[in-house]
Amino acid sequence: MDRKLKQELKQSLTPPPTRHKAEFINSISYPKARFREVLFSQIGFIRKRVWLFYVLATCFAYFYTTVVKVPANIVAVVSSILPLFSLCIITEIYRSTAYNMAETELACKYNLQKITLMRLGILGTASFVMLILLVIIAGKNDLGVFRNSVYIGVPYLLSSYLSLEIISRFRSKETIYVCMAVCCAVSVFMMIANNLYQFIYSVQFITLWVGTFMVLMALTLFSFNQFIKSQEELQWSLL
Amino acid sequence: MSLELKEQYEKVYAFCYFKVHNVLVAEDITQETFLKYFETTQYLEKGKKLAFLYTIARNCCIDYFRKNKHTEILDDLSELTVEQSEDSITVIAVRSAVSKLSSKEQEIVLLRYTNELGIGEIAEYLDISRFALYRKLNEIKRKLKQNLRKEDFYG
Repeated sequence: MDRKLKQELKQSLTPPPTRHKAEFINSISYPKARFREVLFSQIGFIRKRVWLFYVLATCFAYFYTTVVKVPANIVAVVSSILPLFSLCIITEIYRSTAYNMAETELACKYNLQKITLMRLGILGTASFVMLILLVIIAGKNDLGVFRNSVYIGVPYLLSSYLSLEIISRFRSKETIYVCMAVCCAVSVFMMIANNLYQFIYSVQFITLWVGTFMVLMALTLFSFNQFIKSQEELQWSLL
Repeated sequence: MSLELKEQYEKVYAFCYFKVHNVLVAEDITQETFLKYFETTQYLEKGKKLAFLYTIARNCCIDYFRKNKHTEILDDLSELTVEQSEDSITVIAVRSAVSKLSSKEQEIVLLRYTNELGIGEIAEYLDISRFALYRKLNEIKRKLKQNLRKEDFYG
């Protein structure tokens, strides 16, 4: 059907304006969105490129550790990739703060603090699954699950902690580029460390690794807490 | 809520208006439709929401006609002609062409071109397959072109 006819059909069948629409809409009580609905709606707000990156990064790690025969540096490869995962998460939560997007609408029922937590919960769950997968992939060496987890966890926590600190302290739109640089720096550092300082993955340094892991975990949790609290100052979250 | 209330209100109102041809009655039925729609929250969790909404609207219109079959219904369809289009001849020609269609076909035209419902949504409401709906739309298109005199519309 040609466009002109479609337009004319639409115009000629459009009824006169309503008279009591606003009154009715303001007075009607309709079922409000439930927590579960809001939680799942957050999956749609997370950009497709983030999910794509998750899949590609895992495929790359899997390919590198299984097809390419370099079992010696499996941990280094995986731990170099992980800062990019944390970068992905940071870009997502940074968007909310920088652009005050559609969650302001959702914040009518759930404030931005809760919305951010929901989104981080989704991404955190996805990351956790990916981490387990990567630990399994990296577990093909003889280091054991514990040591693999610690070696993989440290760069991830380091990049997460630094990025959280950056976005909490600086709120300009360019902050994300600083986070990107930091995450890439951690990633490159892990690759260099693997080539030049291979000995740090030996048994005698495991205490240092575990200590670093614990400290970084505490710092990340602290920063995360600070970041979530900082969202309380937003005007619509006070409602 | 899952449906955009304001947007759907206008669309359901348009649907009701072309059933009852009266602004006040159409708006009353629209509001009744929404009240009934929101009463059944269990269905809204998993059902075909738009099809459900339009089915309620249709049934409310049927109820209205049953209750008022002995009452003269004031037809204020004339309100349409005043402001809807600059080219009133075209509007009259299109409306005349549409009026020659069967009531079912008119309903499809309204749902598809005025309310801009998707093929899937209309098919769900009419409880027919998408393929059947495409066939009906082609048939409507053919009839409309036949009904519209060249000098009035395409001239």
